[in-house]
Amino acid sequence: MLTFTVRRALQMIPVAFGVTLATFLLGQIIPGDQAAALLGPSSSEQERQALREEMGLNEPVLTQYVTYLGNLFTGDLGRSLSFGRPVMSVLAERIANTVLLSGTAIVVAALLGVAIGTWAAMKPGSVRDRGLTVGVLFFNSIPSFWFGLVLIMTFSLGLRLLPATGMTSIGGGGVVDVVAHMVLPVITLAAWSLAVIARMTRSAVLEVIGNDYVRTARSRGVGEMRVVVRHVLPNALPSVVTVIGLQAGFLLSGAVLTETVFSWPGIGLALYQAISTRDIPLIQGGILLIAIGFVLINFLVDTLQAYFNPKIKLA
Amino acid sequence: MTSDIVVEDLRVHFPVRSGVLRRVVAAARAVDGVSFTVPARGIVSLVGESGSGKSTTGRALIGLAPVTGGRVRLHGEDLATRRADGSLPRLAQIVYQDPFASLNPRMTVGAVLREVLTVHRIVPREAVGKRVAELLDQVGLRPELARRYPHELSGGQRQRVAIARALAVEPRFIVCDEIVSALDVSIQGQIVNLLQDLRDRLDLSYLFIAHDLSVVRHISDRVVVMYGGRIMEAASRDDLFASPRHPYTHALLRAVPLPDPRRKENITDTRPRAEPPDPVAPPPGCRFQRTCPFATDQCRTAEPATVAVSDGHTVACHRHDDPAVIAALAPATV
Amino acid sequence: MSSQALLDVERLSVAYPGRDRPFRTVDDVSFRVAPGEALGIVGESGCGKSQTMLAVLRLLPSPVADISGAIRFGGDDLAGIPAKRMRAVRGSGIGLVSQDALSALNPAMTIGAQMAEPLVRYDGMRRRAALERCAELLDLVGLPGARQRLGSYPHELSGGMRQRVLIAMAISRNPKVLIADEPTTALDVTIQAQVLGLIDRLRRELGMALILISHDLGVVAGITDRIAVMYAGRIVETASTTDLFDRPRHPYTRALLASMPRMDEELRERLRPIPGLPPDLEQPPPGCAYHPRCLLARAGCEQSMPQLVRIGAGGAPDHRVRCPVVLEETP
Repeated sequence: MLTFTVRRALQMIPVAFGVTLATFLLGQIIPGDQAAALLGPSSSEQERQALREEMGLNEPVLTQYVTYLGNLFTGDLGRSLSFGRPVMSVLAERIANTVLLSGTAIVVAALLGVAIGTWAAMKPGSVRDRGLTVGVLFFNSIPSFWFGLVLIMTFSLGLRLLPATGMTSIGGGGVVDVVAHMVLPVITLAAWSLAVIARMTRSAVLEVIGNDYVRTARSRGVGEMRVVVRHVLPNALPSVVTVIGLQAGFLLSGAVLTETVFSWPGIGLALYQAISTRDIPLIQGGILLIAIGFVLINFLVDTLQAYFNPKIKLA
Repeated sequence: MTSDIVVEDLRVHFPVRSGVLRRVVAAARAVDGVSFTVPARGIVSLVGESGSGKSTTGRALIGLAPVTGGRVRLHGEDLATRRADGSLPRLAQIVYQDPFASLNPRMTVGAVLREVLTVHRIVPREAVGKRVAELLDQVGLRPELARRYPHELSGGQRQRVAIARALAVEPRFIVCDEIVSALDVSIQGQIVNLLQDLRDRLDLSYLFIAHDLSVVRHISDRVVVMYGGRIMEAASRDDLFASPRHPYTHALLRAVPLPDPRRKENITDTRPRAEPPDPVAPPPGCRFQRTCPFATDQCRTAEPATVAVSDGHTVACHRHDDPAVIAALAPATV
Repeated sequence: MSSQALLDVERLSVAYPGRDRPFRTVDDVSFRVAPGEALGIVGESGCGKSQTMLAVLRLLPSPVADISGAIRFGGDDLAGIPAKRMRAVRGSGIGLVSQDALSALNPAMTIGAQMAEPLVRYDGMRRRAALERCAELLDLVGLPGARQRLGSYPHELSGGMRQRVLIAMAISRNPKVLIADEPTTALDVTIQAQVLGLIDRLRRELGMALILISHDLGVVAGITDRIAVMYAGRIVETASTTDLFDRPRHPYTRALLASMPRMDEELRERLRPIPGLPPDLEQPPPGCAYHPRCLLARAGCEQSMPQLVRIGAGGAPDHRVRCPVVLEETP
């Protein structure tokens, strides 16, 4: 298990380099002049040229990348132009908010998705099973920002039960305030993933439930609930965990839309603002962070996977 | 004597990797010094239990397992040469135990056969259809079956299709890897008879890999007994079944349950035998020592040489001419 | 045979909804097993032998498979009792050993954990005592180093050892009937002989009845008292084991025996397989299901399915056959 984890961890290094290269190149190919964007339309060509020189934009691309990497290692992601502060500090104060929102959403989606999927698979072809199929189709066909808007119209504007926006700083109004602000964005974020996870769990459980060892357990008098919890789920989870991992990654990027709809002060909202103001360093930093999140989640998934598989666990 | 296949001191060692860097730390000796020949129109059986190396040997002969030592000659040319010039698949084919796994479920029987014929340019394009019908007829299937998919066929029919596919390239030699093991007894005979007919009609030779000795006894000219990657005994069919000289051969023969309620001697409630030797670190001496009831100190230290006990009958056992052992092994069958 | 049958299956049928109309994988099957008796059920793949046993244990997919008939065991008709009572029968009344021990053991649980599970949950044993009992059972089935094996995962054991573990699990709750479904098919010959010997010894020592399902007449010959031969979902012949081998009557039984390559006979020039294929159960031939392959078939065989009829007088051992043609033979 240790060997596997170490090997898998080492494999992250080239991937991480790839990610930095991709975000760097992103800065290169985004059309427009960074210097012009920074200095504004009234700046003179001389001023722009000076700034380009100062920022190293006239250097060869390779040199620029090495400088970029070097800065990365010292925690310098450049300066955000719309916030007027270092990108690092903008992201640092927001990362916890995004993790809180996406993390809660994935936990909700995973727990409910596995439970619903299993429940449906225990009676294939039944009313609840068909209900699941319809629900999955519904939630996977509606766009999440639209779903978020519908929730806001119903629960905030219509019923006036929950706040739609207004979350500015986490913890200011106490736990109840945070939870109240989280309900709608979490539902919005989780719905799509929940449907995918439930569908995956259903098919994984159905596949495992047909195995001989499930029959062995039943033939020895083990009750149906225990058969499912002890014999079916542990063997179905590896494929479900893969999907949960993928969904966790999507949730990170999906947060851009949801945070915008609900004005949630996370990385997604910052990215949205950065995109609308052509704040390239912040875009790069935000994407880099989300991509690294993806890589870490994948690492976690593979390690969990190995933990569920005694053949790897014992090696 | 002309031999289609000559195997000399064949070794197939697989690398064992370990650690963070997946370095090769040892070799698993799946096949460890095996020599035999398959004469033209001959049927040689390779028997032994799982882990004996019999299937790996078969795969090595058609280039599907790496030959790490020794040599294999097919029709007078080295295996490596045959592989390099592309003539190997035209000469040697393999048929597996589970035809369902080796047939593409989305291709009809006819499509499977047509593909082989066109890829290898066996017959001109306009003659392909006729040849497919011929092949099906050769394996005893009606031509209409060309339009069926594998899942629409019975186990025996699928195995016939797999044989037809092997025959499509007009090979001289076919490795039959446990091809009747998964079939019902009443169908097994159909396939065994078919193999014999095809041998006679098409001058084929077979390496018949199997664990069912009653079928082996029926089909083979010669039998080679493997254990732990090595050959324990090799003899003509009649010699081997009438007077086995290796304790392992004897154990195999004694284990076949007899369809006779009065003969229960082959059903023995014994503690499990020792596991087959670890292919990574086989014990010094004879590979069979830990299971052998006749093992002595010599068996635990020195590897037995392969000696001929009579014409065409070889055995690798230190005690092959010990009268006590010969007496104990004598009444193996009937 | 006698009124004190332990398991009495009467007119059992299993039907599935087919493409056009329902079809039966088990059709009108009746048999009895007395305490301590060993019954062999023999037939080719798809003949319904495993389906019969899964129906007895009610382990078939329930809403899909339609089961009819009576399964009397310990004063109950298993076909009708509630699911909870049925669970109590499984394992402690009737135990099951299935074919492929690798897939029949949970790959994600240690041997000890899966063995001890029902003992702790349903037999009120403490975990430590249950594991102790499991170690004893593994020792009883001849697993070397039994105690250490409790912590192993299935993939760490060889095929023969896994089959021994599966047998130990099946007898762990002291069943009165042990059903062994092709218990040796996936094993090497030498291991097969040992496992058969083990099953035979356990049956005698523990006084269990045994139902041994196999496609191989050689496997059932040595350790059963009676044999039922099945073809296309029906029993076509049943007799004492010696009688069946000495005087096989049904043409299918005879053909099956003749098709086997045998180690204890002179070599034949060619094997004598049964021509043709077993029928498609969704579209069975009219009349006797075996008639298209039968060497004795005559006009009338395709008319109606013959009854399973007892041959010989009352004193002779119970020998029944489903073929009017051979009934007319002079014995």
